[in-house]
Amino acid sequence: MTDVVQFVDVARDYGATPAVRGVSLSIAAGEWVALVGRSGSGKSTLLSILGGLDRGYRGRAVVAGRDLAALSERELARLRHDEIGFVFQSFQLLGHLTARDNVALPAWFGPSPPTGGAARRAVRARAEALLGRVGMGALADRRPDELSGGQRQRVAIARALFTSSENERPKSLLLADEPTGSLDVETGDQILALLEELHQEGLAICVVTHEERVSRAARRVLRMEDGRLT
Amino acid sequence: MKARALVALAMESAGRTRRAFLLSVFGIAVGTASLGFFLALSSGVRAVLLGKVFPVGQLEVAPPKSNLSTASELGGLFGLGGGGPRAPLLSDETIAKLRALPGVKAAWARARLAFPARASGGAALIGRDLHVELIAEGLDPAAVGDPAFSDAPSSGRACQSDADCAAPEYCPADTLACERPVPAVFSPFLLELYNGAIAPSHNLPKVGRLLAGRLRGFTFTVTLGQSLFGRAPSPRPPAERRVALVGVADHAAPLALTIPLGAMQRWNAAYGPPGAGAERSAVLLTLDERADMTAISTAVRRLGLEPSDGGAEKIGLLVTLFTLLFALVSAAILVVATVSIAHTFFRAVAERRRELGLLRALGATAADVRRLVLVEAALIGATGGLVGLAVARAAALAVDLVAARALPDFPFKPDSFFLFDWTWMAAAVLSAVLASMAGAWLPARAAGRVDPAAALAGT
Repeated sequence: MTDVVQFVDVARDYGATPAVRGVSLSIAAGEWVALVGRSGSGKSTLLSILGGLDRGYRGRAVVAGRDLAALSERELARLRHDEIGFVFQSFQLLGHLTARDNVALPAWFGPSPPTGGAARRAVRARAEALLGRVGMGALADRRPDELSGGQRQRVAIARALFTSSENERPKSLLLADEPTGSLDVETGDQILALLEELHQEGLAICVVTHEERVSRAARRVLRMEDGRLT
Repeated sequence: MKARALVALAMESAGRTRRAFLLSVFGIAVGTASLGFFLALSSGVRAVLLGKVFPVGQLEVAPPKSNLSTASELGGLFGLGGGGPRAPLLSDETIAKLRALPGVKAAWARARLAFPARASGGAALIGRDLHVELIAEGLDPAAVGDPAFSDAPSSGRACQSDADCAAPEYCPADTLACERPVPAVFSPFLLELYNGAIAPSHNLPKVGRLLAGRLRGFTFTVTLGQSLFGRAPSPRPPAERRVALVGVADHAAPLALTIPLGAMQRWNAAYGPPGAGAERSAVLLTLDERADMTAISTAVRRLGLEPSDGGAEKIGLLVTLFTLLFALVSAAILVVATVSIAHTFFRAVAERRRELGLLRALGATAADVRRLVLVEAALIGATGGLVGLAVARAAALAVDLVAARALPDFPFKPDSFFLFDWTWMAAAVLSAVLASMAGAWLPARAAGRVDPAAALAGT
């Protein structure tokens, strides 16, 4: 099975302070990995590097077969758009948009932004399909402040799965930073069940968490301490 | 990210931050409205002043004042002057030299009435006869370009009464030789002066320009050698002649009745001081659109003559200065709006830091984010600019309405004080867009520098 992520001796310093020290790891396609550790252990920094959001690292970082250091900013942005989905603890939904439009937001940064009426309709239909996939089809017109925490996270997961074209292959990697951190246990379990479904469908998942039950759901657990994998 | 997508996304964003958007639009609209209003006002005033009151594109050339005798000056003013013989100051040779100057399209000689005379008539036109001092100038007929305005000779047939002459000729009592009425034109300025000042103050009907065209053939009487102030020193007794209006002419003397140069010279020879018949008081030069006024003025002075553009240059400069002043005020408003927009956008970027980070995570580049902020600013500028122009147009209409109702008539009172040159108006909208984008420039750079990882982590 090919690796979605290959990190070799990746390090990241903030000034004189090392945040990630010589991390080497690989995540196989469809694998579900949990990255655990205490606050300040470097796991969120590592997640940012994995997502191509932080370029200030040293070492070799390959995601979806692309060496991140070799990519231009535009290529890296395209990689994020095409290959990587992000889920955040605080959902990061735009309050003025409906659930449907939040899910469709990545389309604006794809190869064919929905500027025409037909394109918009197609993108909306695709967003609705994804909302249906995460059990939110009936609430597509709701704005985030009209949704519960669990519902918001489902919308955020649908957005993370969005790809610009129906024929395009699905994303390779879902990065989730404390996806259940703002949810009660029951709702959190529902989100974990949804992640499990996505994992079963072949999506590689890397979850940063400090919750035991989340790490238990993952197939492999990587522990970080003081910037290193232990 | 494609431009259309940026615009569409920026519009969605503008719709979300409606209050901030409208506030910024308001600032830009105020600046653009004042800019458009003052540009249109100065264009309108310039069009009236330089198009009608002080026409540009022409230059009057006259001998220096020091070369004219006091008597000649008086003669020019009231026709009462005497004085000895004088040599013509503007000879044919001089006029030919003026005509040959680069940028000069034509040179037309003028001669002032050099003796006292009065005019009577008008009953057929305004209901009663007017008796006025005759102030007249002779002008080269080529300047008018109307075949009716010619110095064609009269038949001179012996007569005892008008019945002996073929119309339109008449029989002057002093010569008893048939003579055609001297054709005359008057300037639009004179028409405006009559309509704006004389008619209202004397309760007389106004004469529109179209109606003035219909005055063609209207005849009145002039008494040569006798004015309301006294007689000419000429030994010849005063005599009556007829003058027939042939219309309005742009190159006619602004404040005088204009007759063909030859007729004026004959009158001056008969009733004016010795030598007055050959004298030209001035030469009117018409210039190419791009003529170098300074070079022509210099060349004219080299010929020992004085150029005078009738104040057009000074008025033009004055209008330009006022335009600049108003434009500066408007620019200051735009600068304030720009600073306000900068403040608004800096605040917006700070408030939307997480959102900008999210956009980066979803596939936007730093340049996309920068451009998104700038396009939002451009939308504000374009909206504010268009709203401002609409406000300026409405304000101009309101001012014109008030002016039409509340201001008394005065010469050259225009139907509108504003001239909306759409090239300038497009420039005003463009400046609004640029001002808005300038205000958003630094915030856009700050937005592009937002670290997505830090923004999404909330640090």
